[in-house]
Amino acid sequence: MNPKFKIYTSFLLIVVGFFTLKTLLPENNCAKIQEEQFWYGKTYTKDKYDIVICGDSRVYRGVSTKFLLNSFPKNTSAFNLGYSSIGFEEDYLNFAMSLLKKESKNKYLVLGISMHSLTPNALQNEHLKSFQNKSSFEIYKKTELAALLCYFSSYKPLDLLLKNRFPNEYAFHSDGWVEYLSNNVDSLEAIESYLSIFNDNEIIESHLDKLSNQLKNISKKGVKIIAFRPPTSIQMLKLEDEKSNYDYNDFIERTNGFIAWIDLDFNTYETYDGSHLTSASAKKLSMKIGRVLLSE
Amino acid sequence: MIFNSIEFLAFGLFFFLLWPFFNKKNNLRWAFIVIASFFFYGWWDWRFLFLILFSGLLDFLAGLLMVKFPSHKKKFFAISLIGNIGSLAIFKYSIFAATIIEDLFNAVGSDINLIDTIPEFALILPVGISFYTFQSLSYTIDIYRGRLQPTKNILHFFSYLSMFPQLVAGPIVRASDFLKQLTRVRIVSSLEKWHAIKLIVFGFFQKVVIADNLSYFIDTAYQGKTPFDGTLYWWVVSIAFSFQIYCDFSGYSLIARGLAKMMGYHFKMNFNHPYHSKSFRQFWSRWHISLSTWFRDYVYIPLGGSKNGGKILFISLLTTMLLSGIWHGANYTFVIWALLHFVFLLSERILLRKLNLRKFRFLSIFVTFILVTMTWVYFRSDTVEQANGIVSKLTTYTYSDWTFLKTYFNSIVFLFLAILIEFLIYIKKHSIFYSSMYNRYNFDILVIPFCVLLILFFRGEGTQFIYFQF
Repeated sequence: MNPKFKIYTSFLLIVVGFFTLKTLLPENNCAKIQEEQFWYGKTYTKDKYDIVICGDSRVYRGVSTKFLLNSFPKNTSAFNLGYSSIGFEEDYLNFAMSLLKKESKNKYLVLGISMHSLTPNALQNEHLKSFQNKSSFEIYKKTELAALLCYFSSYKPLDLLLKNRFPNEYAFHSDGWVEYLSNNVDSLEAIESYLSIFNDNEIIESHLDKLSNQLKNISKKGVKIIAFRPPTSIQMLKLEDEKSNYDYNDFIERTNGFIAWIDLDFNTYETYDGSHLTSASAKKLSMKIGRVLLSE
Repeated sequence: MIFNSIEFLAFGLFFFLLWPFFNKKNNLRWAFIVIASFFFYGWWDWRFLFLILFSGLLDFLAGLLMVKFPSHKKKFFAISLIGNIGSLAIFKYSIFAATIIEDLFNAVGSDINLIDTIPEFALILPVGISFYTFQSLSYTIDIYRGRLQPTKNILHFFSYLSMFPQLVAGPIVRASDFLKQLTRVRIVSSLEKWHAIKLIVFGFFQKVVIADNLSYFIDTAYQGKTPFDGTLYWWVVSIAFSFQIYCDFSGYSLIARGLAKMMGYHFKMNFNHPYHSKSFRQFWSRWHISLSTWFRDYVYIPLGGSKNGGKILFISLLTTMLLSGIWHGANYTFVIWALLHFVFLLSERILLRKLNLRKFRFLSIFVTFILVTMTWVYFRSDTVEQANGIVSKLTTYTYSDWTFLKTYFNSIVFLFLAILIEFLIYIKKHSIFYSSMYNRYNFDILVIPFCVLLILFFRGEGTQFIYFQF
């Protein structure tokens, strides 16, 4: 048989087979690609905002800028710059500052400061660093080509046998919010991982001084700093207060002069794993923060 | 840049689009190959290029000088050897050597710390260093032996050394074979293109469908991130690794051969279904053929080989296997892996000399596969202790919870597929009826699209090729 015929026939069979299978098989689960697109998009955003929200996973899962901006004028913009286990060190704060609109009259830095985000381990900021310093091609691939990659993403045999085996647990919103989609009741499963999180990881006084000074300097530049302790389950709150060996009120007192603190009643928020807020509670928290910002 | 990446897809398309324009005059073609190959290699880390440039320049000059000044031939050859082995020693073996020295001092009760004194640059392992160093070395060795005339054109030399399809994971191409090929302008026929496509498709199939889908199952086992244990579980893991390492490396070699064929060049076969082997000796004539023949020609035979028998055979075989082990990695695990192969090879020569393995074809294939699989445990483990632990689980029965088959169903399916394919290939090779049917009805036309669709729809997570670390 003529080799050219073989090449063309094979090519034709591949094209026909591809589109036939695309029609027959269920839609791809692109959770991983979407997640990467989300984090790369967040890290390499070129937009500037009036409000930048910073913090760890309790913040990026707990604050939706869409709900926060509910009562704001339409041209106000906000972005959730939260990363997992983030610590408030200089580079992160500078990164957040760089996203604020220079020309904005009301620039806000909203900080969700959890007990863990003050610890030395959090200051390593490994999650944020894992996305930084990537080549422009890598960034382009993860952000602009995500839809194409999703179209060509592959299947696992079990995906076909058991439809909807891994339903998406999270929705990754372009404003930086990660919404928990499931209706699972509070499992408190995150508590266990916090039992030893403060071992050899105690909050250091000198860091608190440094952070206070940095925030003071930021406020002097005309940026309004609003802070809150991210709501979590009562069990987690007690655990953190006990294990961290630190009185959170001490930090509130030392920064009271230049930070407006939001007082939140943790009893009114619901978590899905003992640490992070459910979608409904995240929306509620966002609206609460929005109201505070408007009153500032 | 790895073959199974979008970057390479773009690079490959661009390269083959431009190839006909540059494939006209020697210098133009060589310059194009060198620039493209350096771009391909520099994509990992542009600093790696300095090492390949150093290694290449050293051997290019040594080759010329050996011919120009025959009376100083030995000196230039020694410089080439020291330069190549030295760079390998620094970048690949400094930590291992420091560990051995530290262990020796610790054994006599003296505490020293050498590892911390190693300069930071030496801690980076440039991708594929062992491959191109060996390729470069073979060039000077052949000139020294008078079996090769050096090329006077540096572009010609570097297009041989840095040719991107085989640069980072072989096959290790010989200068005596490939330099000649590079001087010819070849128009690739449709038949060659079809063969090239087949090689590339089969290569990608082996890598992304089989090897990559097995990696999660194996990695979780070796990293201890699984609740499963017991004899059956570890046997399935070990067999899965046998197929993962084979498909990963053979897949790369097939893609490399296919890409070269697309350019009009021929690389020799690097794998010939090694798990069909009836003995360890046969296994080594089918596994990583370009490396085993390299060791055969440059180490085993010069040391005396098997012709003299007795002591000399023992020494040449032991040296060859030990070097092969260390070539693969700087760790005690690779040394033990190599020693085990040495023991099996030697035992075969002594015990099975008069035995006709043809009579026990299936039994000998089975036994060889099982023993090879057990030796792979040392190859895959991070430490000797870990490997010993796994081997003891393989050899002493402990209960396994069968539910691991359900948990790792996604990987197990591809393990069965790999075994089935090797079985069908075996039947095809040994059954005239089956083989003639396959060829008469051009099953390739169905097999190739089927493989491509599996690649598109069922490829595993894109991981680096295992052999890049060597």
